[in-house]
Amino acid sequence: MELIVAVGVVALVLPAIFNIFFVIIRQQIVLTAYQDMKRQGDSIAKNIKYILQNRASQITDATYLLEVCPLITTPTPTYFPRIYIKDRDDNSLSIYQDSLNSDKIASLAAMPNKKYFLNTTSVQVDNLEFSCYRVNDFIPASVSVRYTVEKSALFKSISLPYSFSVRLRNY
Amino acid sequence: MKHSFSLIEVIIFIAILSMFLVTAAAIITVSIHQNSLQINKVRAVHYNDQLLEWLRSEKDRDWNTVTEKATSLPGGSVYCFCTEDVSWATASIKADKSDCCPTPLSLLFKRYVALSSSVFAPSGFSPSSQIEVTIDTDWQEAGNSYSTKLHTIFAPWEE
Repeated sequence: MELIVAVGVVALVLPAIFNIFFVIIRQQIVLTAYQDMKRQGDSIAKNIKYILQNRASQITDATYLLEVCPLITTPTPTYFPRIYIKDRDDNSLSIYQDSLNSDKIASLAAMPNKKYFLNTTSVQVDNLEFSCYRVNDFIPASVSVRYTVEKSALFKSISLPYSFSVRLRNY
Repeated sequence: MKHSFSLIEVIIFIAILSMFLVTAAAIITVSIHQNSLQINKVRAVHYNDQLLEWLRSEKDRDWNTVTEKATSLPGGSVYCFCTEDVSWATASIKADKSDCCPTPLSLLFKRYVALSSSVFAPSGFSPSSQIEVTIDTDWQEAGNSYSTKLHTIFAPWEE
């Protein structure tokens, strides 16, 4: 009788403890995922803003020769997946979603041909898009950037959308 | 003779087990609540940042529109942004922030921005208009209200 009671108590308490333990672990994993996505998403935004604000002088086509930002007063943005930048020292670089590592944003300097990744593989970046416009000839171009940072946390995909605009300073 | 537990032994065992379980339950409840709160804080801060970035871009794009929005109502305007897609078209103006977001953002958050226009006139400089921006994302959790707040001031680059 005593043995049955003891086994009964253990049989009730142990599953409850395990269940609670797994609920807490699952929450911790989701929390860590959100923190990682926020940290890396903010870091990507900071890096792209730095490149555009402090280095970029022109947004160009793939040949780095023709400026592409249209002159419009009411922007109706056409988004494109890759941006080509001429910097203030006439260096060329581009920012895009890398085809070899499709979940990473790459910043590629043309000369020397050097690639830097703006996020790690612990998060995925999707839908990276850029658009730009100029209000008139005397105001530098504004570049809009948007992307989604995603991460899988226990069979559930969670995401944080990012969008921001930057006005060039070195026009 | 077969030895069995006495009543006092059983009572002590149940008392110790109850104390342990009650303490564990309290700790677990607090832990689950704190985890959930931290998750929602990260999301709320992100929603605040998203709205601030969008308002900054609007300010750079068209200062006059933002000024008009700030002066829509006397004493400042409250705009509710209850969708992830941030635009003036999806925003609604309210006299009182408590009326914001009947359908909350992500079914939890109420996000709004208070805009008020003023004139900044330091001595020796010509007066310049500025807009005070206060972004709030509120949510209710376990019967408590939580809020994350961002406060900044916009000034035009060109006037």
